[in-house]
Amino acid sequence: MIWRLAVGRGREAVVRQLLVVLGTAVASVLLLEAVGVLLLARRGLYQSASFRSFNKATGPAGVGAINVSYLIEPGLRHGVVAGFVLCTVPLLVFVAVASRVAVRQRDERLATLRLAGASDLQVRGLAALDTGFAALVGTVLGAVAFVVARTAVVAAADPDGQVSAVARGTAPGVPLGVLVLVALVVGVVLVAALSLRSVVVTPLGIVRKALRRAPRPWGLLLLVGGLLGLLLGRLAAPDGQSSLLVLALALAATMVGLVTCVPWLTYLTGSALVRWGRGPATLLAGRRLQDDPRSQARAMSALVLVVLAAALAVIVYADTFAYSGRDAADDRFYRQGFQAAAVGMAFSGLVAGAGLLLTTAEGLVERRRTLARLAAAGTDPSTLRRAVLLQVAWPTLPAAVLATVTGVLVLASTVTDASFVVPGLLALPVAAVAVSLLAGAASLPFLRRATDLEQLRVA
Amino acid sequence: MSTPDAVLGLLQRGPRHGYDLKREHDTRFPLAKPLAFSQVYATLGRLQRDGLAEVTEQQPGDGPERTVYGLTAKGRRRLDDWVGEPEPPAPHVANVLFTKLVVALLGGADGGRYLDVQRSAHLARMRELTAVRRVGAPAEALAADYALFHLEADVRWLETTLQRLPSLAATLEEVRA
Amino acid sequence: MTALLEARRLVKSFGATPALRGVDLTVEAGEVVAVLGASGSGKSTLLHCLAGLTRPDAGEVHLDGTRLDTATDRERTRLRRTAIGVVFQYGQLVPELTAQENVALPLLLGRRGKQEALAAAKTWLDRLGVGEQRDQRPGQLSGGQQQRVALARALVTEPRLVVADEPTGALDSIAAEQVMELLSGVARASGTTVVLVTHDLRVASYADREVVLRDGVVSGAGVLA
Repeated sequence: MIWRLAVGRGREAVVRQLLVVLGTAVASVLLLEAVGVLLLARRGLYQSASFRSFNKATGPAGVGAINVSYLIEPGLRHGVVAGFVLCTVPLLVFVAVASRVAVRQRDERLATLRLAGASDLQVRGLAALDTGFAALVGTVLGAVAFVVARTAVVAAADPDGQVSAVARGTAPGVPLGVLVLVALVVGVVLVAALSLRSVVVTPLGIVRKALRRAPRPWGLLLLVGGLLGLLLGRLAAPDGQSSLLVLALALAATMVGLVTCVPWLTYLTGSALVRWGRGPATLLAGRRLQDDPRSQARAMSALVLVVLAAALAVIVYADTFAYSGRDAADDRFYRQGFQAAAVGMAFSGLVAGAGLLLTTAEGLVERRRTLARLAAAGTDPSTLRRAVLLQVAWPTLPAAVLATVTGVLVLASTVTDASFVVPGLLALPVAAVAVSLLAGAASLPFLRRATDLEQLRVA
Repeated sequence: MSTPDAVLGLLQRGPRHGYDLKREHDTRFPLAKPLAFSQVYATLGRLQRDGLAEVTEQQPGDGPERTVYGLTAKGRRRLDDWVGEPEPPAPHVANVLFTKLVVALLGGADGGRYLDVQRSAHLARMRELTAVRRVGAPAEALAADYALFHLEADVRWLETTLQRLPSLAATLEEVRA
Repeated sequence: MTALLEARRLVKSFGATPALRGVDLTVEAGEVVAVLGASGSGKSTLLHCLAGLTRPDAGEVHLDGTRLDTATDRERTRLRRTAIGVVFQYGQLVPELTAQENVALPLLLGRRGKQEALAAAKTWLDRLGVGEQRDQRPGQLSGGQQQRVALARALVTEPRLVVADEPTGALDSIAAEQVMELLSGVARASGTTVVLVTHDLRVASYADREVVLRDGVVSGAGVLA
């Protein structure tokens, strides 16, 4: 019975569970990889001759030619680890969004329990159980997949070959692996329990949606502060050896600031649509964004971070290849690195898009009745479709532009080759908007279902 | 009071003794005052005089209890007319409405049809009253409001009663036996 | 004179459950007709068919000469925007839009200019006594005020037919009265035809006549006042 209280019945609840499981599983795999690479130093394996002999691989391109320099050099290794961890961020955003699928039904149920006398703690516990169980299953599945995939790769590859060496060297080991996974589950559960705040405080909060305040641009302060910090940090140590800690903090502040800006930007976009839009679609989209900028922004935060990372990558790429006069191996080394980074970012971009799709679809399902009534009052489907696409694509533009600009400012001192950088950077907001349009388009079937008047059984 | 019509209604399923009539009346029409025997015979006498009922059997023995009464053709026609017409809409006619409903059911009429006819009459009156409310003086409007609420209550009660029909029918059969 | 709205032999089922089993209905222009019936009698379904919200399984619906039951979805949507106004019991206003924007919506959909649409919306809100509330969101209004806004939205396109499904169902007596006074008043003033579903007899007494549905068919003809 506790299970039913926590999770509830119905297709939507199952979908929620499955999505959380999926997200957590993939995140687990990435985190385990990250841990494994990190542990390479502890093992001292990389000292071994066989490992090092593959340093400058001259074999055919592809899996077999992984350049293990990435794993050996400490700076680069940390970069690889950071890469894996950064890829988990969009996944965690995805899980956060997924854990809110059909959350309204669940929260209504929990509110009813509160009215019936359940305590604050009990209700939070149920919410934690709902998400926690799925997260747990996800991490277990992820761990199993990780182990199975590794074993298969090792079994299929040449036991003395490079791939096996790498695989063996980067296996995370049970204790640390378990620790990391437990941390993941705990993190996911904490987020779920915290997001329950409104239900716990007012059991009736579900019934009446009070007018929430518009988001304020505090994030901008943080963002500017972080950028200044980076600038100062670099200036303070002109020889280029600035304190890593300061830089890391400033970068973190910049990123957090950027993400916190997004709700405010979304609200502004909504206001702009309302003020300057002409037709019903812009009115509907604009007001919707003004009314609930936060859920849209939540899903967009992943995309924004990906754009930031991509902007940094574009600049570094241009910088790296700005001057020729490097031997082929080095060249390929760098190229491989960027390719891997590109793959990571494309993957993260897709995950971010999936998160957007989920949020948009969820919004459509939740507003089913209003949408049906709109259709009943004579709103044509194309207007509604336009409104959905406007709502998901428009806010992405300023956010992506801000992220790109931030990226430029972060590496301000090293922008050199404008002819490559500028088109590359311009492409980023365009790509981001494209991703959001795709997500919006993919959610349109939910719109059709919501406005299907033949199903308007209870008017 | 619709005692004569109620008695006519009770006679439609066959002739009865005065004593049985009183017992059935009190059982089937709980909203009405219980019928005194003197009243029963007085009513029967009147019905006889008007040609709506007649003596069908005179059993041996003394006293009016030995007489069996039944409907005449004229009485049956009068009954059909009474059931077929809606009761003039006025507040607090539940008593009469119920009597008519039971009589109608005893005669095998469709309760739904009876309800529709009566509701139509009530609604027509309510329409008049609503118009009065709109243009009349405040006092008139208040009086109209009162009538409207009570007319609606009567019809709603009738609808509910009709929904309880199955159990009502069972009760009817019990008393017959 | 041909009637404004005519339904013939309407049949509609939902899966195995029959809702309408052969309904005939004729409504003259300018009439106000109340549809009565117990729950499950099919009255909401009838209303949906009359407004072109759903297609009957069999039978015909004619509105002012146009055949509704065979019209395309797009055509029926267009009619609902221009010729038919729909009012539900609740939940029909867009919560994010202000009252004025909600009322202006059908006009905006009809490609009317924004300023023009908003101005027309204001006029109707004033006429229905909720002009002061035009910048508020539906969530900030009382039930009676919300229904008046909904009514304004249905009337803003000056439709020939207004269809209302329990428009006063969620309201108390006084609020219900106000809505019905406004609805019948506007209808009579502009000659708009109204078909409303209700289970409240005092609401039905605002109509010219009533139609009773029982088990998916019309039972007992209405009485003309």
